[in-house]
Amino acid sequence: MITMENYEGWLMRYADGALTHEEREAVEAFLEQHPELREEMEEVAGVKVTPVVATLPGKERLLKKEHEGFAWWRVAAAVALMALAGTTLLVLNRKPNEAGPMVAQAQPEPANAAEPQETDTTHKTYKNNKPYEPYKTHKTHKAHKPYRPQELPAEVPLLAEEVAPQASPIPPQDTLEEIPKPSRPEPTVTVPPVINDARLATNPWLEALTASNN
Amino acid sequence: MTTKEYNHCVRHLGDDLYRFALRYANLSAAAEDAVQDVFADLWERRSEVEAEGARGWLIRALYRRLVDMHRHDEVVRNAQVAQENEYRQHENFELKDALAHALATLPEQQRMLVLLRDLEGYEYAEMAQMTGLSEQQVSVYLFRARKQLKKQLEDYR
Repeated sequence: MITMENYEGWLMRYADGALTHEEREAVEAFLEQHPELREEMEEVAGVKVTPVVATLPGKERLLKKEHEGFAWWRVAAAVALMALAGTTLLVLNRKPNEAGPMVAQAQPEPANAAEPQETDTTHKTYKNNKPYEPYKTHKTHKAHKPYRPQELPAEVPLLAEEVAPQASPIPPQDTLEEIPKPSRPEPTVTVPPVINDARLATNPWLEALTASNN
Repeated sequence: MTTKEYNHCVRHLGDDLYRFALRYANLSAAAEDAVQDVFADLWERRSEVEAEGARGWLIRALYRRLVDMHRHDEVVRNAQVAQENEYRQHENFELKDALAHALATLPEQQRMLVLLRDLEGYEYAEMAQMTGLSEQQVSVYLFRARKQLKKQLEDYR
């Protein structure tokens, strides 16, 4: 019930639209009886506090660095970069090896030249395992190396770069046909030979190979 | 709440909180202190506060901080001294910001309710919950506060 003792709250909520339909009707009935209070209510309801025009000083000092959320991203990025670098290094290190087997392949030829049948068996191994890529053929060599002394020359790439040039002219024609197979033309094959028999002779592996071939 | 969301609060709510505190304390240093405290508190408790409810959380924290300051008489004394100085310095000051002076004459609780309602748009139920008053009491205090403000403003005109 609205009375002269409690009307303030009712009028305030009436002016603020915070009453139910029934409550509003009760307030309106009360105002019918006390018209002077309607004017008071309207005046009071018109008083509003407006915000000051001001900005918080030192706001920048309250801000925090937003790196927390990115810590794991950074770790992940670092790992990815390292992995990429590692892969790149692997690939780069492989390239010499890739050239190696091709030369190595050429190298045993002199020995094979003496014994063409041996050459055939060797190439069988090549073809059975990885027929297309000389790079993978080299792998086959390595895998079989411990067991088959015939393929030991594959180890020779240590000397290959120097030995290579002399390898090409010596081999018979059938081996030359084998050599062009690598997709990448190997310039060393076409270079005029430098006879290096002395080195070959001093290489224990090749000695063993020649011995076994003979 | 993430660090990013906290910073968003500082950037987008900092001014509103400061204006609220400034209206209440009527002294920039006190208002600034209160808002800085509230944000420091928010940072400490950011794991408990959701970004969506940050504004309400900050207003409630600011309310408690300002009431606390008032109890320790910091706001009242400082505001009155500052206001008197300002009025003496600027003859026309009352015309510019009579509202600030009028607000300063209100009882602390009435002033807070008017600010919550007018600056933050709080509903009666929310104000009642925050202040521990009944909705009826809230509306009565608001009515009296506005009546007092009106009287004060008329006196300055």
